[in-house]
Amino acid sequence: MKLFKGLFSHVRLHRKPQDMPPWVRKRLYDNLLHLMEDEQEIQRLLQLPIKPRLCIVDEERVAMIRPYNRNQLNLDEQMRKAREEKQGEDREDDQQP
Amino acid sequence: MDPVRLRFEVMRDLYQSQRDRREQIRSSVATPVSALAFTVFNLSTLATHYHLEHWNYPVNLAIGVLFFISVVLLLSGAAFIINLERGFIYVDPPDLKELVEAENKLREQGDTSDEVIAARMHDIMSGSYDIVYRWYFAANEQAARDRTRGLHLILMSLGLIVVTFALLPFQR
Repeated sequence: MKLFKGLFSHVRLHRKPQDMPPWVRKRLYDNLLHLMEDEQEIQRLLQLPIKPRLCIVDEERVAMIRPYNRNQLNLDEQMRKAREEKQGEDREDDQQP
Repeated sequence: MDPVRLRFEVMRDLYQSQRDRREQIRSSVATPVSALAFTVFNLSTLATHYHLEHWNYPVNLAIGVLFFISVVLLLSGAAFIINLERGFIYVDPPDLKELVEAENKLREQGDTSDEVIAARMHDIMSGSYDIVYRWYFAANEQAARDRTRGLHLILMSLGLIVVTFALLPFQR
């Protein structure tokens, strides 16, 4: 019954990332961290006083993170893990000649 | 035209071109899907004419092996086509609420003139379009590559079926 409920469900608006299963949240948060890096680069390039903040969408799950929803994500354990993994990757990249 | 406006229009056009391309790639999936349906039909015809009881006769064995390879290629092609729509994360430019907040922040930071704020907002949008363009570009390239690989595998499968049909009169 749960399968049929999932197949025929419709959403009025995008779902919140917090309602998604862990593997979808991981995918979204990893991409969000890369997006935030891109936003910082653009701020530096155009010498903007504020950073442009974009929306990020997982079309398969109809989940969206709008810019002003980002603060709420700091409470999510999955986001903390994604940040740590990203910092580890960045450190490895810096160490490579 | 001032450089701020020029940057904005160039990046917006690039972004829109990638959005259109994405729709084109999605609609072009119909070609491999039709080829897949045609290949399945041919495989079923071949299966009904194949004499499995003499499988150890060289020609029958060759037909069996080609049939199996053809099925594997067909399923691999189908996997590429299914993968095409799965797991992509897209980014979109800031929504209205974010734009209003950005405008308010700029005013708080001392940019009171409407012209200066408009130029800053244009730059924010140019930067956003640039990011979205690059993300869409990468996703579109990957989708186009998967679609072409899927189509190639299905066509190879179809080619093997043609060879198998040519061997069919020689089976025992």
